[in-house]
Amino acid sequence: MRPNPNDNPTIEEESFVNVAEVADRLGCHAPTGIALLPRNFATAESLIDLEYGAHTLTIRSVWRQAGISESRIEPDEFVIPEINEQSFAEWVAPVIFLSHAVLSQHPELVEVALAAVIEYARNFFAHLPGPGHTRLEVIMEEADGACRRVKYRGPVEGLDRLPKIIKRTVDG
Amino acid sequence: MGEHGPLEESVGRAVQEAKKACYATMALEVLESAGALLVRHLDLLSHHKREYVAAGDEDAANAALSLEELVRGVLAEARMWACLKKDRAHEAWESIVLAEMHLRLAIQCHARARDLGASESYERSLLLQEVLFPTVHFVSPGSKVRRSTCSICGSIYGECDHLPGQPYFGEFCVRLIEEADLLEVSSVEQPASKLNRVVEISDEDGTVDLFTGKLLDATPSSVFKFRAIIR
Repeated sequence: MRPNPNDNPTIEEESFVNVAEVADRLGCHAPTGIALLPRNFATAESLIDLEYGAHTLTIRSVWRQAGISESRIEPDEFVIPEINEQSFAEWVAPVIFLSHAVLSQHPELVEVALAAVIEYARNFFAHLPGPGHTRLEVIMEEADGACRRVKYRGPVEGLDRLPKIIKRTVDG
Repeated sequence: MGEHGPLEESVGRAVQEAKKACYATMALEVLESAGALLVRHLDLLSHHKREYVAAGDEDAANAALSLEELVRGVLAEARMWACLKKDRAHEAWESIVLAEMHLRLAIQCHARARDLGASESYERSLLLQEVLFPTVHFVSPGSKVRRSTCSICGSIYGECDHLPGQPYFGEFCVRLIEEADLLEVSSVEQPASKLNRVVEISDEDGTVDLFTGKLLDATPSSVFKFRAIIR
């Protein structure tokens, strides 16, 4: 296998748009718990511009099987299309949103949701040579509605660090 | 499917025999004979899989599916060698890419295929791509999917519990795209499908087949052009 610059994991933290405010502007439901966000949520100009990243609908199924109740942002009967850009070399997770309420009151649900996504990513590369590379973004809402984004890029095994990073970010 | 049952042993032997033929020096008739043996085992596996499904034995059905994919993978490699002998470079590339795809499915479907060397065959398929073929320039279509369904139950994709690539009673779940907008085609290093590739380029020297190096047309092109296959 050729050496891959993604073998060294990178984790970035940065501020993100106020998800509730943007949801209101776009005319979609503001997520109240654990949600999947369109990949262009921060920059879309209207509801019809929204696009889910690849694997979003798959993780929707994964969460349902794990008992996670997804807070869907799309209005009833409205379908947000999903971008189909797949690669077997890197698994790009959908954008995950965690509301302040679920982070502060139900951290166990956050743990289950993240574990389900991490397990799916592991299985994607199961029994194949190489470390398996993945990208994952988690948006965390703070008490005042401001949001922070944690971006992971690197080997699948490095995803185990994410729950601790999220907890540390939440705990301040 | 019982542990190391007669069918599995027979498949294992057929795969080993076929692998012995998968070398550049092997005669075409030897490759074709190996291929025929594998095709017979595909028929056997298909028959047994139907029985397992009828008996409600999902694990056995999925084990049979994994062996089907293993056999298909080794068969595809054998076809690659045969195509190279017949000077069919593009078909050879497509065969080894299909080998990789089948073997990946075999590896991840069930341990039975791994027990019979599917992992080694998979890694071999990747190595053969690197050493037997020139650098391939891949392209990848990006699309926006508006409607898709599950191949197992027909539900709107994402609304059922079936996951793509997973086996269910001997059948892989596939996401069936029914409505999509093609957004763009990009040049990529690691595509979802290595079948999508640039096959010819045209410049001031004429048009050249990138796989064979043959000059297809000596007419100089005033602009750089390329032809790609996208499936």
